[in-house]
Amino acid sequence: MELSRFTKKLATGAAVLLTVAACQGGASPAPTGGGGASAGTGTTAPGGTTAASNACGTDPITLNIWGGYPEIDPAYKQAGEDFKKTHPNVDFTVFSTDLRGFEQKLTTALPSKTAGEVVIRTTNFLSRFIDQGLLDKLPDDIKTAVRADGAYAPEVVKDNTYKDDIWGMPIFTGGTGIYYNTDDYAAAGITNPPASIEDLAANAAKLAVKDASGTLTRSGWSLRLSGQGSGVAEKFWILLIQKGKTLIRETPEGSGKWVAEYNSPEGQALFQTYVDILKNGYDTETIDADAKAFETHQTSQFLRESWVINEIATTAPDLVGHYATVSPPVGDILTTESMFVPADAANKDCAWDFIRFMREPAQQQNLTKVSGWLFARKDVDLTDFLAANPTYEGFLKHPDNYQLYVTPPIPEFDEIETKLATHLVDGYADFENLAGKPDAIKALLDGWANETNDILKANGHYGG
Amino acid sequence: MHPLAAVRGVPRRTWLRWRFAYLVLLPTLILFTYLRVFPTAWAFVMSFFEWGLVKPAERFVGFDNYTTLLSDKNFTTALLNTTIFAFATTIFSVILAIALAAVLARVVRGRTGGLLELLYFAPVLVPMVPVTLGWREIFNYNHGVLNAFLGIFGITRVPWLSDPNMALVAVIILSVWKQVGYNMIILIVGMRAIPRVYEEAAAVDGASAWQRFRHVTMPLLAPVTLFVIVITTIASYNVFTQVYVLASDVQGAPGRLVPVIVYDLFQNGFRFFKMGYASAEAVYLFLIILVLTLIQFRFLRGSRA
Repeated sequence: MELSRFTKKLATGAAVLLTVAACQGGASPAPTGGGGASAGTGTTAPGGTTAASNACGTDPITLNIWGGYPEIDPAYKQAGEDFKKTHPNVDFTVFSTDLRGFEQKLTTALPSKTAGEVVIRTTNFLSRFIDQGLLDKLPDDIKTAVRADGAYAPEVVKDNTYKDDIWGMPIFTGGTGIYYNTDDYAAAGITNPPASIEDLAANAAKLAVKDASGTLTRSGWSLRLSGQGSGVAEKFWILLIQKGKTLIRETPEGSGKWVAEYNSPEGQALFQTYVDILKNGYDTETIDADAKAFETHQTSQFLRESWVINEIATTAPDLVGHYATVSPPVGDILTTESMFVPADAANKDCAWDFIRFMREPAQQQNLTKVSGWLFARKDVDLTDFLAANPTYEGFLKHPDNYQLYVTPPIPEFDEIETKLATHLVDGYADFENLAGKPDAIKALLDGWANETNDILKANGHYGG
Repeated sequence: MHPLAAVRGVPRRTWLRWRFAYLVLLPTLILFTYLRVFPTAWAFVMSFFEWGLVKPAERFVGFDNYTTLLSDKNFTTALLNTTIFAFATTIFSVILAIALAAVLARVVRGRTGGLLELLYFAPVLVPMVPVTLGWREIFNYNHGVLNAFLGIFGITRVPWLSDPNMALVAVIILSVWKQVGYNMIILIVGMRAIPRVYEEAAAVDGASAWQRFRHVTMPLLAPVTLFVIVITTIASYNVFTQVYVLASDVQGAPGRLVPVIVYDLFQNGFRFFKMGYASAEAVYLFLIILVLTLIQFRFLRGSRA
């Protein structure tokens, strides 16, 4: 009897311990690796150079650069080598992971004071860390340079402004272009670049290719239909801008209060466009999508940032000269990636010196040449660059009155966008049931908008 | 009789042995408490606060996080998916493992048996991320091996990764494949520990092979089977990596994210910075697994009785 009771207690204890262990064994937080987690890029100084009089001193220093775009790493490494010519005591490590992994790494590394000396991300994402005093203030001279007339687009300055102050030195931006295969356009008898969503949709019908069994083998327009994170909603947002609306609108402007706008009639019409394209079989979830599809000729049109130009040059060189880009007709989202220094970083002054160095026109242009991302400065002469790289015209030449939207400066925006993305993916998958039912689409979008507004309310930012 | 009466009668030499054993266990116990018990207890505390990831406790909210979760569609969907996943993975991986173990423990022996054991166990040795990346190609709608195989039998291609329902099935298939080898090894060890004399006696009494397996082997294997079920259930409720990786290629290959609890709490905590809310979700997960584990342990005791 006693033994049985003991066994019972032992069994219960074992169950609790197993459960405790199990609940600890799920998703581990992102690694909090210190500055050492990196791919070394230290270089030797060219012979004869001496340490310039600067904030980096003469003692050996290693600056760790952390980013969320691995394709830009070569540009940082090149910049490090150039910087080392005048600062031979400074070595660099450059470490980038995919963006979501990088964000998760930052969320643990910044509070635990183990992040790199230079971290690159948007001011909006880092606003929570700014609130906690985890990031260094921008030195006055850089702040003045950022604010200088014509140095940066006003939207870039706005995107870097948080609580009436500028944070971070803008390094590159992520504008959108419409990519289209010029050979496919010619074969389909399309003579002009797409000038509206209606054009894109009409072209999709002409460009889609199906095999004898009716299976789509090349989509007419590769929409963003799936994937984790907020990207699906971001693509919807860019298209919504072409219809004059946005995801959430500040009402009244400057009030800091927001309300969902994507459930407007324009939003419903846009969603209807997605449904129609899927219903008509001009795109499908089962075919490869996005840049990969364009590079492998599984789609003829899609929207994406400028980095794809560089990727095409390396992974699909045969496509070079057979495609073009054009600016979205009405406007775009402008996100600015900026360089920050953690408040407790070692060698802060040297890190800021390097950041100043990255503002130089040569470094800015090199960043675009190497990675395809657009440099942030507006006052850099583009003539030579565009002559050598005409494919960038869709990103650097915009129509008059082009509207640039920046990420709303509210910390919960990522949650809003991510949750909307999840709903959109489900909604697109249900296209068969939604086709020809505008009321059902309206009800769907209104339901999602209620969730968005609830999140805004919970954070004290609702303005409806 | 007093519960400790039996202990009082323990000889001094045994006491010393026990003391040594506990002394040796102490460092592990301290580490376990620090790394496992303390963080879990801390999660309970955080769940009653509005607690930002990079902010200290902001506001005591009582059970608000718990009640809000019950009306949060993301959570309820994730809970439903996780439960379907856990039950399906546990059932299929245990049944398959029992079948494999029966064959390898009783029928195929020697070198061939050893080789087959190794083959079936191999997936357990490979980390989940590369395995999932491989399966993502296998599940590919257009050029995946699985659809090509199904095509041989005239079955139309299945959108494994893009259809909402099939994406969950795909995660289950992958997970069963990964788990079955581990369960099989445990069950083989259990089967080999059963004295052959019982089966031989049943055979003498005229029992068929199936009857011997059903009425002799399985009842004697019950404790091991239940251990395997408990471990698989716990592992299944913590599903994360395969779900995350299957939908991680946003640049091209279609991939639908299957919402599961750990992904949802990971997202709430580390993406939306709502650690209090995520902790409440973790506590729900803890309680679900605890209840299931207790039920299984109770069943184990019942079967022993």
